[in-house]
Amino acid sequence: MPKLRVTDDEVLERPFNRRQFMRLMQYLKPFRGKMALALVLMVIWSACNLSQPYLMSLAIDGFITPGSLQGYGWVIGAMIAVSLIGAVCIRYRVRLMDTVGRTAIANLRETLFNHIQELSFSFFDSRSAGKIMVRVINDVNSLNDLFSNGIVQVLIDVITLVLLLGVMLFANWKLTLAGLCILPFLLLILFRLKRVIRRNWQRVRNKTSNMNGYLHESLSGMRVTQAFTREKENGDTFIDVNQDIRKSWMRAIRVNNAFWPALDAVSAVGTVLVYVVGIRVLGVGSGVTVGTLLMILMYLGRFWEPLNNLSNFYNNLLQAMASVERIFEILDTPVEIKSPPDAPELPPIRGEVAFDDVTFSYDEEKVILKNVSFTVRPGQTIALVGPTGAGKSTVVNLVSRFYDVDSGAVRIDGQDVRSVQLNSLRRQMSVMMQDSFIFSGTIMDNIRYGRLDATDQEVMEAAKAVCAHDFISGMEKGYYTEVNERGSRLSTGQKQLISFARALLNDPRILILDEATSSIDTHTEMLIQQALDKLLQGRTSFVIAHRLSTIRKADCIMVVQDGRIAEAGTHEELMARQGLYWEMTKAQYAFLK
Amino acid sequence: MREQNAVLSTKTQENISGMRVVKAFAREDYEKEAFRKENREVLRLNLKVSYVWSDFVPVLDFLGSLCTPALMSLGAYMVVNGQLTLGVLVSFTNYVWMITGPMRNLGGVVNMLAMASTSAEKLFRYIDLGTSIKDKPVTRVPEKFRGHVVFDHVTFSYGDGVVLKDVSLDARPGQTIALMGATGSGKTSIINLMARFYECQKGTVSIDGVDVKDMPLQALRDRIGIVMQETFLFSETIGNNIAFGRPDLPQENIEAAAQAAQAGDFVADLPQGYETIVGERGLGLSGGQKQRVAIARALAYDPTILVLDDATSAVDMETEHEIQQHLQKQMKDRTTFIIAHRISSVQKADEILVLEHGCVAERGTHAQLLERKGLYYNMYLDQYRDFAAMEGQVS
Repeated sequence: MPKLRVTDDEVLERPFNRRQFMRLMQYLKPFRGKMALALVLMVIWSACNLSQPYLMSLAIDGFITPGSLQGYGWVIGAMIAVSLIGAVCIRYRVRLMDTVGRTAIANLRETLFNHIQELSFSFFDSRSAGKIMVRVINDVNSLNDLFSNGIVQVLIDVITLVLLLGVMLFANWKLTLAGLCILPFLLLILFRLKRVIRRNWQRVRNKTSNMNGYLHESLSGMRVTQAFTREKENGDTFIDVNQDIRKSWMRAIRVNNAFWPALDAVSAVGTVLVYVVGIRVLGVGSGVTVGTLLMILMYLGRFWEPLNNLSNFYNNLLQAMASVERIFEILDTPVEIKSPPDAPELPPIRGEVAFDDVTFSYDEEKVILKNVSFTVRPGQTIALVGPTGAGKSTVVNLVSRFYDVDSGAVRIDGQDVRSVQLNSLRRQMSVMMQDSFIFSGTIMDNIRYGRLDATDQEVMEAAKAVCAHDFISGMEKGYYTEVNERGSRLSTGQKQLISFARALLNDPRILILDEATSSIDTHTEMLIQQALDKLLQGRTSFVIAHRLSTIRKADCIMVVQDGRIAEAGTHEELMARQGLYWEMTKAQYAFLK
Repeated sequence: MREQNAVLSTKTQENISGMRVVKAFAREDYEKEAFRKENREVLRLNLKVSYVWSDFVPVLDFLGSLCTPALMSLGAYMVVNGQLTLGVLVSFTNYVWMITGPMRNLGGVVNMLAMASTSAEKLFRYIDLGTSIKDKPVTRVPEKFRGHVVFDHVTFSYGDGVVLKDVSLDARPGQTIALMGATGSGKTSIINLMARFYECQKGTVSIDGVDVKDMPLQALRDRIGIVMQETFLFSETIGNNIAFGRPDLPQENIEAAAQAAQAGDFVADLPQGYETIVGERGLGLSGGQKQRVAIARALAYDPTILVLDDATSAVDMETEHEIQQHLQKQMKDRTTFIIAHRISSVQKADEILVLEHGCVAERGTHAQLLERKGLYYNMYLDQYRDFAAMEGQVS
């Protein structure tokens, strides 16, 4: 497995997009009050922070230099008070803004998840579960900084910078200008060097996600790897992938570590300039006192932080925009399959299913069903047979409206499936698919998924009906054994039995079995068949199976070929006809003989 | 908190993987509620952590900032009394600035150390696990692999409950052995022991006269080609998936293996053919298509012992029939193990073992087992009855 195959080249940053940004801000709207309060707190904090250097200069020029400490305690007291007020402000700001940010994130995540629940199968057909999960978890998380700190912090930083500049110019504009000579260089470092640093860290993230992808797949396929003795090759690939990370990390850290020294060097030049101008050029008689000099220098020292914050925010914003775009892409995916707003509930199904001139294709290129029409009477069992890819599964997918027809209509009890509440339709059907899916949880929970209010007793009854009771009770914790999709010790057949029980518990009016018993041994299948014969009474059912025994008993067998119903009738009728079905049966029989 | 985040990720991934089931049972609202609960829990824990920080950090900040007034109080007194120059005091105010930074960092470092030591602990636990199944210091290889597999009174359990009890079998080179039996009766365990994915507690498993425990794993598994019950394909091209066990295999051999597994036609129909990327991050193949690629992968491995573990369950009967006919040729020079449910898949085997609760309940050829009128006969009847009823119609 070459490492590049598992690389997803995710876009890591996007230029600022005002429309999307404003849309994102909608999620902060409910918190306007809290945010305003946080802003007020931060303005107070900023003022406190800026008054410290002034107090210092006051202490030196007003008390220490003249040598009189009368009333000096007030200055010290003010210093302490200002620190205290600042600390209190910070505490509440952190609480407020974290609450705002985290709650907004949680809300956004729920909106996203809920939207995904409504999306139709065609959406999931083209995307892996892992990729969608990254949207819901990682992309949403990456907005945290923006929500919690970003927005408010920008305002504060701008205010701080303005205040700072005002105070400095007021205190001594000449010294201020001398100190700010370095500003262009500073901006260069903050915004240009930061960009280089950011790009480098992105490369590290890219390589890391490569490794995660590789690791994830290697572990999932470990049995195959061991069976085919590829451990060494895979180990070598991993070393490469790992080395890639190390190299990109070292590159990133090298640039990264240049940042602070560069900043220090530039600001040292600023300090020197202030000293030189203050002492040499302006001289002792110019009113530049030691206190003023110190104050200007301290203010100058406070310049970097807001500027650094702003450049961080800018970097953050670009990254967030990439996530925002991906999140909105999902939120903007229209819900294709939905009930009309005023659709009525589907009354209890009697079980008549009719296809009326149905044409369907998954994508424009290939038509799967062509002008299919048929009617199934309540309580009938229909077997669908035909080669792989002929459209058998498609027929049943249309019955439960997992997809919508291109033309024609699917009707249940005379009602177009598109005209009723989707939930009321699906709740009355059970679909059992070829790939049975097991949720992590106990076996009890897994079966109960079919009907959430079923009692333990009812769950066991369902398990007994499908002959799953024996193997479940044989497990160490019986029905309370924890199982999950990967790594559990359930065999494929056992998983199928569990999802069979789940389907049955739902007490459906229409039952769809899409190769539901392919991995169950013949004997168990026979037992299930007997149980089913009873259970199917009064219910309409569609069965897709390969085994003749399952097919033969159906009230009607439909042979699906090239998107059409090529033949339909009972086993006897079709055998007598000596058509496709007869051919297929003969082929099987010949082999058995 | 990290754990809760992981719970949320798992929940999401599972919901999406199982979306078909969710929709089939119209359980969207239930899923939304379950997600909401986990999501709010993450929120609660996040805020808890942030509140702890919000109590802690400002206090530290405040204590740090007390240095300046303290310095200025004492300093002012000393300067006024002539014990200190103003310059030294000013330089000290700068030093105070410099010292608070590292002091704050120290808290971070302590935190980092704590995290590192918990991570290291977990890491070392895995490293110390060691490999329970590994090559012995002195290993033996059969002179020539011919594929003579012998199970001699093998008993085995995964830890809870015995899976195989006193199982013996003798598969001679070139023979085909079929394993049948109910779900969970121990069929797959036999394969797991042969390839030494697990080791038996009693008895021996040997290939060509050498106990598998004495063989180097590499050499052993190099001779066994397995098609597993649950097909796993890597996110890779189909060609590379087939050549997974033999990375240097020439293209024509890949295609020959695909043909033999009845995968050649559908692969050729794909726009990118053998270069099509499949697996979790690639094109989704149907269950039957995946199984055929997996069969091709095992055939391309050119093993002495071929194992088909329910390898055609998702393939329709006609295709299975064709695969089997092709396999007949392939199976001639190999020892083959077939696990299957269909009589049609196993009836030509040289020996059929019917397992029940980990024991061999019946063994023999198709004809012998039919005569016995036992489990196998019943299975046969189950499947054959349908045909018997229409004897006249098809012949």
